[in-house]
Amino acid sequence: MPALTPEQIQEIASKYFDGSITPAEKKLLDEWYNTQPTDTVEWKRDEAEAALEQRLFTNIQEQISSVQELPVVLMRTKRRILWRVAAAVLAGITVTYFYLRTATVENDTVAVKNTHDTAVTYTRYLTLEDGSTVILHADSKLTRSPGFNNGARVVTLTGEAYFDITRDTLKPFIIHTGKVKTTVLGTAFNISAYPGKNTITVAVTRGKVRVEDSEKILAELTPDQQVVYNIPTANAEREKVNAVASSAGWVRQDMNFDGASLASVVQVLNKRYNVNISFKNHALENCKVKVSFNGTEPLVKVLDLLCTISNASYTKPDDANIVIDGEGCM
Amino acid sequence: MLNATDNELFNHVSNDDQAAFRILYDRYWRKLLVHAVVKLESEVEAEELVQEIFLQLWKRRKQIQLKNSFHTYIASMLKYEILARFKKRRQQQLLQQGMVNDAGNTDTNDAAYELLRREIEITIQSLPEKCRLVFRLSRDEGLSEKQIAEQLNIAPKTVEAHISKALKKLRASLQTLLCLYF
Repeated sequence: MPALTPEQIQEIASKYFDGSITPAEKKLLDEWYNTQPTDTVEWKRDEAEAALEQRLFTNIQEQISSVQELPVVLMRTKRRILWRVAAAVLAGITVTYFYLRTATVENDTVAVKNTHDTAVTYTRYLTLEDGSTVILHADSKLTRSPGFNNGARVVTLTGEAYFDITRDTLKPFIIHTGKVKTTVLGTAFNISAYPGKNTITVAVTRGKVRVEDSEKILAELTPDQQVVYNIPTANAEREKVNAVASSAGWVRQDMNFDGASLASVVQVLNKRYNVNISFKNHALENCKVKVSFNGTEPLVKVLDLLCTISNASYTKPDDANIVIDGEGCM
Repeated sequence: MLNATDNELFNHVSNDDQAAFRILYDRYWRKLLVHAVVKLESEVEAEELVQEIFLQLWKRRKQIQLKNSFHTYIASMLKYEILARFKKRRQQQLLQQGMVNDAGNTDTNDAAYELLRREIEITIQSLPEKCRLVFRLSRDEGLSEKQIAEQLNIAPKTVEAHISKALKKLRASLQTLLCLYF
């Protein structure tokens, strides 16, 4: 029986899906699929079978619970942060077209305005058209490739960002950071990439990320692993790390309000979410709030909580504006 | 419950029984993983695939109706997902080469059903032209044998023969599907 090359399998499998497969090709495909390899499988991974079995099952359970908890309570949003990646990256990315379509957040209650920003000077919360969210750190830049979301979802990052990626196994999410390409194989992650640094670091909290340069795959990272890529020498070293502790502090940094006035909170939100929030009753502006967020919540969740603790409510008269109203502080 | 058959266990799963789900996982995870590793030659992708299959099984536990064995069902899911991966790899390559085309979506809620549907479609397409036409008029358009005979200007006996030939072929190819190896 003729052995099929990987390229042939790919081609025939594609034909299988678009219906143009011939009976002869179908036969080859089935023969290939049904052939048992003669040699036994050699497990490359240094992991006991029981541990592997449990790890995979835990992943499944986590994904099941994230599906079932869709009406997420604020405290639980942390659980949706599936993984983080931190990468520091060289300069030299000059293409700076960044476009975000009007993206609707959650129940259509709050829409984020169009942006054509090439870069931000303050930490911004963005929703991409595939539903993924990106928290872009101050002085960072994200460039979306043309046709984003048509095939692979490709972006280029300079600076630092936290990503929460909508799972779509057929549209890989790829982040270019200089010489290094990070492919999201699972669900959600965080990247940081600064110009002028000699190393690129990718660290994962949960999920899976593949990191490669132009020549080879550097690492396929599982939780709490990171790879440090040295740009001048093109060396990559893998190490163990506590990814939660090491990467996400900046994400929530601006979202801790300890006795801040509502007016100043709204100022932060207007910039971060690129919206225009105003007060109908100006007495609200001086109300003091003590509240902290993870920094990864969509705007509706932030507003819901803010309004609850300030005994206020908000309305959205049109796409561009949000109005908070209430009786004032107690 | 450890002695229950796969199908019995899946019935429990349909009623939200997580313990039964775990037992099915214990029975199948390794077989699926090994098969996926061999075909995909990537441990990472194989792990993803195993997770995806069990995730789908749980998410669709209320909708899935086992017509045959659970083994057949999960084997169909596996085959579908593996072939879909190869399609995806090709698309990624084309994308990288700049030959960008719209990546037709192979994502689906029910991989086993999709596999069956495609197998049937491929079998129908492999039928001789006349036979295929008759079969389509019969199944897709819902025409009677008499109506088909009139429309194509052939004898009703011939229509009958075409249809039974088509059904025979379908049965044969579905038989292969039922013995899906993994």
